[in-house]
Amino acid sequence: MEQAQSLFREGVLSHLEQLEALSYNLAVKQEKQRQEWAALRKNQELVLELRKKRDELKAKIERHKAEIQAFRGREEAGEDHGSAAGTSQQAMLELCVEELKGMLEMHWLTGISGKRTKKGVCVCISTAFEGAYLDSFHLDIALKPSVGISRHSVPPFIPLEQIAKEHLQTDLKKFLSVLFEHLNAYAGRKYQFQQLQSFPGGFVRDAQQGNSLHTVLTFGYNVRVEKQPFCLRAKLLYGGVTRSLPTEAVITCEDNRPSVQEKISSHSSLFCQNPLHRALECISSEDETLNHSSASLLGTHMF
Amino acid sequence: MQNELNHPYEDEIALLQEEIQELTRQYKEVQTEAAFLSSANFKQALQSYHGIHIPDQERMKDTACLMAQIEDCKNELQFLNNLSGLEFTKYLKKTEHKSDNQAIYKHRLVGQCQSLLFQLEFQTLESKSRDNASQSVIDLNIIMECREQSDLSKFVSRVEERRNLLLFFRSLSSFAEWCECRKNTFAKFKEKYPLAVGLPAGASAEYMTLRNPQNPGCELLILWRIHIDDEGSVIPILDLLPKIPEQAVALDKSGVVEGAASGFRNLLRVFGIHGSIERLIQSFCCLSDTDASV
Repeated sequence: MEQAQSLFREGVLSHLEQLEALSYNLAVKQEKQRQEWAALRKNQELVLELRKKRDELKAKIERHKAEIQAFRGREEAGEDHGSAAGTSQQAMLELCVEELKGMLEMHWLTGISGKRTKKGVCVCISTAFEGAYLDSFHLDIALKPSVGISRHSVPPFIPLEQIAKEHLQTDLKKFLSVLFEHLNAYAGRKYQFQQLQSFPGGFVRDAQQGNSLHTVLTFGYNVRVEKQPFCLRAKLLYGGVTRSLPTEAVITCEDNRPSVQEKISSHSSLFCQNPLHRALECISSEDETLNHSSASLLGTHMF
Repeated sequence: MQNELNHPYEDEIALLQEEIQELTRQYKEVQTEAAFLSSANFKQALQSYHGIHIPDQERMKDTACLMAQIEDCKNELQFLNNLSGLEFTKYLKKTEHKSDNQAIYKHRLVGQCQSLLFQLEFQTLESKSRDNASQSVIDLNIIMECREQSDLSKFVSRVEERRNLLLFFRSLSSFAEWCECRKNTFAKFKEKYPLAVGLPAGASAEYMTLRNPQNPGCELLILWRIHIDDEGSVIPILDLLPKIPEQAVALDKSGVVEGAASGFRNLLRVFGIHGSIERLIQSFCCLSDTDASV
């Protein structure tokens, strides 16, 4: 009896449980589906909205581009410009702020820039060699109550104190301009030394700086004279601390034959007049063309 | 499966959002460029702000805030102008190309340095790698009125060729300063010795003439050139050119005329530019006290 009862209970109850689970799952599934559909609809709407926004922007850009074209045309014709249509006063002011901020940033590219501080000014001196911008140096200069440098990142071998003594009290602009010359020349010499180290070891070797100011530089390089390889030693002396080209280039070779000596004197003026890496590129390409022509001569000789 | 159905939209949304961001940036740039071309607009906007009512309170607050920002920037710029000697009047920066680790910008800049006006168009490349960021100028065009100054025009083309923008600014600044110094010096001597000093081409020219009022046939020309060398260093070079009639040269047995130029150079070394010219005027023009005191 008991057994039958339990069977009966299990049968009906489990069936009911199953039904309940089924309906629950169905409800969950339906709800999930509904949500997904809703999300899909929302995304669809968002896509449409974004597309509209994009097309509007595109149209606006086109309109401005046409305007710019028109201005260009009038500029060439030498006419006075009217006002750009459709730009509100607010927007104009915003653009004005943008332009002024751009100008402030632009000063960094000129070598001397800075920001006023409570006590004076924080100056940034940027350096460059040809088109490449190099290290920047900073100085915190107090102007009140008395003029003085409170902090700086100028390397110790730059005669900052001496320059400051000469100009800082009387002419801040002059002080910065003299300091700039020292720093820019130093950065330029250092840059050329770094470039020197990137040449292949088979061509340039033993590159060494003589001091931290980079005013003495020695290295060895290989050339071919009359199809024979020679190793030349170069010592470049940068006589002016505000210069980034050497004032003297001493090149030596153990061999004394005239053709080598001739090469030496031509290289010496090449080093004094050109950036170091440019001069070496020139020497190496000269060598290659010579090798090529001698190789082809060799070729014709064989056949 | 439903999830998969959602994906195309999500991808498109992401793409669209990215595109809109890029377009917004472009829009800002063309807006700036249009405004740059019609610079009158800035002034209009500023003028109308000062002269009229703005109905919307909120907007007024925004505008006031913007005006304050403009004022701040202008003060800061003025300060930088004094430090560097450079003044910018118009500037436009445009993105030419942008990727994750590098960007190319195109710049247009109009400005002046003392009385020298310049207009630049250049491109910069900013690249970022793991341990450092670098910036370089990859193209440089300089438009300047420098027909009268051959040294300057030579320097400008050299700088363009080597894309040395920084050197251009620094050398231009000291060149302009020397020009100003020369102009002031010439004008000061003209004022002090109106009869002896002549400025036939104006105070901004490269030379001034000296003559003795009692002997108008003889003239000395002080030529003051401002040289810019290969590395951008600015050096003043002064020369003395005597313009003496041949008859007078024939009488000059001891070679005074011939030695004048080297004598002047020695004088410069000892007394400096100002002192040398002063002494030259005193001795050559034999001025009576009346002229000197004018």
